[in-house]
Amino acid sequence: MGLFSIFKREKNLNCNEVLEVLQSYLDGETDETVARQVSGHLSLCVNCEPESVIYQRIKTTIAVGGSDIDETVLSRLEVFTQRVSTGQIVVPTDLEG
Amino acid sequence: MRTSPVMNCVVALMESPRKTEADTPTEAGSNASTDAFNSYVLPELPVLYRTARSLSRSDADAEDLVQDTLLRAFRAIDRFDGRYPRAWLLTILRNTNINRARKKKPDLLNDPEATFERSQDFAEHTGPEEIVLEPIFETVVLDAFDQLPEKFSSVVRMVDLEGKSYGDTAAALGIPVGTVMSRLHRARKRIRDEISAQGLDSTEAVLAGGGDVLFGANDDSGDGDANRNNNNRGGL
Repeated sequence: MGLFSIFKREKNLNCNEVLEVLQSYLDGETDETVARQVSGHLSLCVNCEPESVIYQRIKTTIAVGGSDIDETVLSRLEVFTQRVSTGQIVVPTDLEG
Repeated sequence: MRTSPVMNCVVALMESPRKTEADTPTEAGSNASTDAFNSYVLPELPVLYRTARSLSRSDADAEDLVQDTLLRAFRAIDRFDGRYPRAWLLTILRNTNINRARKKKPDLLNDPEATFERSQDFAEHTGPEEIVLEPIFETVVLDAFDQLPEKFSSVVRMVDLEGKSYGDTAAALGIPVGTVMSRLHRARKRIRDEISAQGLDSTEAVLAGGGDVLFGANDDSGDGDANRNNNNRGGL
């Protein structure tokens, strides 16, 4: 068996199996074997690869934008808003965009 | 108060900050505009800033982006019908961000003719009076994240924001690792479902929101896709 195990192919995961472990895979919580299997599947699957992209983007978005906001920044923006609305900051007529 | 270099160039600060709203005319010339602008904008500042942060390279850039957005919004306040202020502001924010990226990287597109044509197309679709409401991936995600029950959001926060392992998250919350995985899966599925509901499933839409975007998937923002707009209004 030892000889033949060298040539034993890794299990091919189907889509359902990949989706079951996708979150763990994206979080780096799967072992190397599973990670390799998932990666191989994603590189070939037109259904699972986009799902992976979307979930990765969700993770990234929360990682960047999901943290609490510094109250001093909010305070500055509130003051800025009120100064714009009361004319203390004049909006130039040639402002682009 | 901190202002960006851009702001210093284009904004004239008026004296007498102790003036009240009653004796300080707005650009639009009415206290009604002042009140309306404040009522539309102030509640949305956290969403605007968080979205800007997800589109920017730094917190300072994000704050500058919000300030530019507010200036453009105030300029357009008289043409805003008052419905869906969040979607209105976020659309201005996105257009402002695209415009800033274009100005920062004017040579990114090597074909001068194509660049000119696209910039003309962009200019035609980004005036505040022609704003088309469309969902923004980052905002949909962050809104959905905010609406998660605490037991779900706490897991997502620890894993995605704090970079904790499943084991550390389980230990911190006093729950089994399997529960961490289950909650994480369900939480992300809820966010994922909201993305579908907003019509943001395409890879183009997903990838369009990054800070490097020059011309995103919404180049055709003037096409008036009713379905997407309605989804956006319902969701935002």
